[in-house]
Amino acid sequence: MLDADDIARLYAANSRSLVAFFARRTFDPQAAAELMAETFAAAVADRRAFRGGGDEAAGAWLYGIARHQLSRWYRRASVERRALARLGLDPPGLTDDEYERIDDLSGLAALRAEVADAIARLPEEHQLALRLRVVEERSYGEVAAALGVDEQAARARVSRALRGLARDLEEVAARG
Amino acid sequence: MADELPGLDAFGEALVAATRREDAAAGTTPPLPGLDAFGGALVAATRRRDRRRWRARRAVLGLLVALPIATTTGAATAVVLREAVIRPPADAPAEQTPLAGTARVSDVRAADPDGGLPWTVRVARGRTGFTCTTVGQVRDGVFGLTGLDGVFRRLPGELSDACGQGGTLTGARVLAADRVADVRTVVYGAAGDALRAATLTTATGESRLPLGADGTFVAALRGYPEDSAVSVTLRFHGDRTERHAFGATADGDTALDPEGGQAWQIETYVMGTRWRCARIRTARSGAPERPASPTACLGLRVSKRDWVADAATFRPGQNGPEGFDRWQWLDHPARTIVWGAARTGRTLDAVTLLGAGAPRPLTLTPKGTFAIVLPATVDPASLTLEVRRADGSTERERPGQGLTPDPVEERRRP
Repeated sequence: MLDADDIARLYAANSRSLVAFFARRTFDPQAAAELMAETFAAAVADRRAFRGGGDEAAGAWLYGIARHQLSRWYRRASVERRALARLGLDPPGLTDDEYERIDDLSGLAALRAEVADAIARLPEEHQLALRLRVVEERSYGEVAAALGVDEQAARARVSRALRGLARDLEEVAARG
Repeated sequence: MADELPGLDAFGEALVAATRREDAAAGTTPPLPGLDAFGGALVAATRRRDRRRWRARRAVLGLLVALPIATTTGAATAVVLREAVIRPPADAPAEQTPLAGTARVSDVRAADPDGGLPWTVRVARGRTGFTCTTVGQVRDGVFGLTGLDGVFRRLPGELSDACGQGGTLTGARVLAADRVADVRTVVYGAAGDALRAATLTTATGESRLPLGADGTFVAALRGYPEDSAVSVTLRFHGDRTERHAFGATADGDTALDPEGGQAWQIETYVMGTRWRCARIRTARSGAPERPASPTACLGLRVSKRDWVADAATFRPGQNGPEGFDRWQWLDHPARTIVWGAARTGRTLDAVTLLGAGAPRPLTLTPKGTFAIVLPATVDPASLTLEVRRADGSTERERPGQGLTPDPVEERRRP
């Protein structure tokens, strides 16, 4: 079973890379820090189930927990704090400076630039639909009114825009 | 880790400490773990399954302000009360171990807030020349501690709370309990013969503390250090002064309770570049859930405002719906709270409350969130906030305007 010293070593080796892992998938340094914290708290809670040996195996096990936390975040759009609450811990709160450092650590600026380029390659009507719905957080009714279409069409346009964006970004990633 | 992410480092230390506590409770490691290699001060608490046993918890280890050398070492103390004498830890390092026969109990006494045995401090010399202090009570000339089981146990001379070298040795020893009313904060110090005065300051005023031999002083308060915003100011021969604040957190994010209850913590929550939110909840709790307010959020993209605030009265049993803004008041006595968030930590210089008696400043955190906790008799509808921006301009407005409702609900809405 992993003891406190093992947890300390695992944290020292993986906390930064985990924060970057989450930040690149949430675009949110605060959420990334909280997901990292909940991942480690869950690791402490479940460490008796770890059957591997060595730091490499422990790291792989940790990232398995991390992916599970990430999928929960996608579903709930919030960080579950069950394991943290059980340990009586609060997630790390970030100052503005730390927020920016995690942004840098994760390469979010470059990632945002790729997304911006991909959006610019979309048809103009798709770009407008995305901006109204995602950036300006308008309701579908308001998006429809702005686009001059009915709500069903507005939903379809946003959905097609997101699919096109995802496809483009996958191609960018595949090209390396 | 030298990449200047202190928040992540602090969480790592807390995580490791929590893991050690779990191991200690499961009996897999010694119950007296000693100093952690990570970070400076270590707060070690051993939680017993038997709720009648006493948890001893240190809020601040012996703090040293020393000339020319300042070193602080403290032995983690998880005090196990089974017998008539509290045994010293078997694995304490030499610099933390007092020499036999050197311990002297100060002649100063501090009354217990609820009429328990008086409190004092004992001073001894460590094996390596350090000065060691121990906080305790006195009964019939015997120095010891009364546990939550009501039994008084002697503290032997070879046991100490903290040892240090040079200058002032002072701290706030927190003795935890199951009920906040039974928690004690004992402010103590051994500042040397040059000490001329020690003044204790709390939220309710100042008091001059009697001084004992070796510049010892002691005061006993109900609750945790942040509940009374306690500090002590020392004046030495030659008019040199020192101030030690034990009730303030490093983040400057606590607000006092208006009726002397537990202090409150202002939480800041930032969701990417979209929302900046504030929430308030009790500063400490042994339970998974704490009384907490809803969030007050500023939509950074959808709003051009510099700040937002909300005001409401919360009563026992109230809670919010499921979702991002899930909140609960539990059984806490009713309070009226004003809380809010600015666009950045640098947007506002001050926030003042109007409409509840004399103008009052709100606690403004370095992250730009702010709050004040008021008696429930204050009507939120009667309140106005005056903010002063960093550029010197001011603005007045009633709370409740420009708030972004549940940010996640906005995204989920079909």
